[in-house]
Amino acid sequence: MDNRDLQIEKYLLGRLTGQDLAAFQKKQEQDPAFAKLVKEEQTLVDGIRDYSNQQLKNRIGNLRQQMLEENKVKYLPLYRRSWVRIAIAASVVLLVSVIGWQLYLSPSSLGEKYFSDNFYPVYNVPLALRDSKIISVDEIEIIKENFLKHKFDEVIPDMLRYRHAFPDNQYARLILIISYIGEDRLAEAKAEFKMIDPPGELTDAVNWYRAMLYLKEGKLDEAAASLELVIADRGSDFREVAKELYQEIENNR
Amino acid sequence: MLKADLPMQQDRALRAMYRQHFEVVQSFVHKNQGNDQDAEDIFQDGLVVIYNNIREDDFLLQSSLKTYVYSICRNIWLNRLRKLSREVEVTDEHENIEIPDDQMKAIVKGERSEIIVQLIQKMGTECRQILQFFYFERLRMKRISELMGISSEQVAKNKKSRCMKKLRTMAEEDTVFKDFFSR
Repeated sequence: MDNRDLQIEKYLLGRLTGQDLAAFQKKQEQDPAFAKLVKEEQTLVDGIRDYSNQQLKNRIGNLRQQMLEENKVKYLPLYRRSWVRIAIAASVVLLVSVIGWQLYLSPSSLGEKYFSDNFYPVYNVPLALRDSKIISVDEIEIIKENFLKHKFDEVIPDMLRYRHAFPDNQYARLILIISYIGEDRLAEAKAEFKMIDPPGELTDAVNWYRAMLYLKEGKLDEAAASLELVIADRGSDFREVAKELYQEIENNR
Repeated sequence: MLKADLPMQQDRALRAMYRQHFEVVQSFVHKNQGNDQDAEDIFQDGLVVIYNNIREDDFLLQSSLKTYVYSICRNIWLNRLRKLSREVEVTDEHENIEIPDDQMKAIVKGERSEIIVQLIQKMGTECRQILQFFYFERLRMKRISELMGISSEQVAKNKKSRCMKKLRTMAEEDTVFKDFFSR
């Protein structure tokens, strides 16, 4: 890449400033061929950004859908609901809360709560699988789509096929584990955990998902112990969320 | 956290934004001729705008995040009402700030760029990913090589250049795109 192309790239990324920017703009005014080139490159970059924005909006829409399904947010503000409904709901809540309080404090329901608050599939499947010779790019896109939409029952057969062909691929094994946990197939997840041999960069993720499994089982002590391992890993991308979750577990114990 | 480059951290941040700021935007849209679906759509567009703006090197948040989110979404909704030629007498329930036009550009799309979007959809996953990381997420090549498992920064740079060249060639060969540029 020559200096001219580098300058154009910096300009498109908004990283040209001061005198460099002024000189660049002057060249655009004086040199129509250069101005045309910049305009074409700008169009390509605008297209990449618009494509990314469409993808981002779809992703936000999916997240929102998940949140609504998890009943984490109320769809309508209170003032839009009828008072009759509110009165009935309040009575039911009062009754249920008296009965449910003890249940709520049990380790299994607390574990379930922490699990549903913190369990997300995070691994970028196409990146982990991109060297595959047996799964096409289109198939990888489908797996990614299903994985991120929590359609684990559809991911599992594909990942089993992949893992069979590439038994040493630990990313595939982790994706399978996450999918098993998401599907509540905990015995199979445990069996995979026994076999996983994560490279350094995956160790924290494996510990994080091991914590998720324990939460699902209501084993808060074991979950906290796994989280401690994540927290001890200073380079972990899970470290901050692990700290928050660990604190939450400690506060409620 | 929304500036993070890992999908999990980004998703957590997006969820937190929904939990913390959606209601005030929803209430604003309701009080100004909109319904629930409008509120969802506006809020999601607002998140896209904010996601873009915080990736600008010179971005500086000059109000509370809540006020910023509210003001961005307020702008989007009022612009949409104006496009529908509806009279707007704004009812505000929250403080808002002036948002410069250049911070709203993420929702302005050109026809040319729409053609490029279609061409990008035809590219391979790796090319799409590397171009998005570089031009949209504005990540440095070193970080891109780490995230994509590419052996070195230089190899990532070369891949990016090849992908960009491929996109350029596809655009040059696209008759609709050529028509636009000859106008």
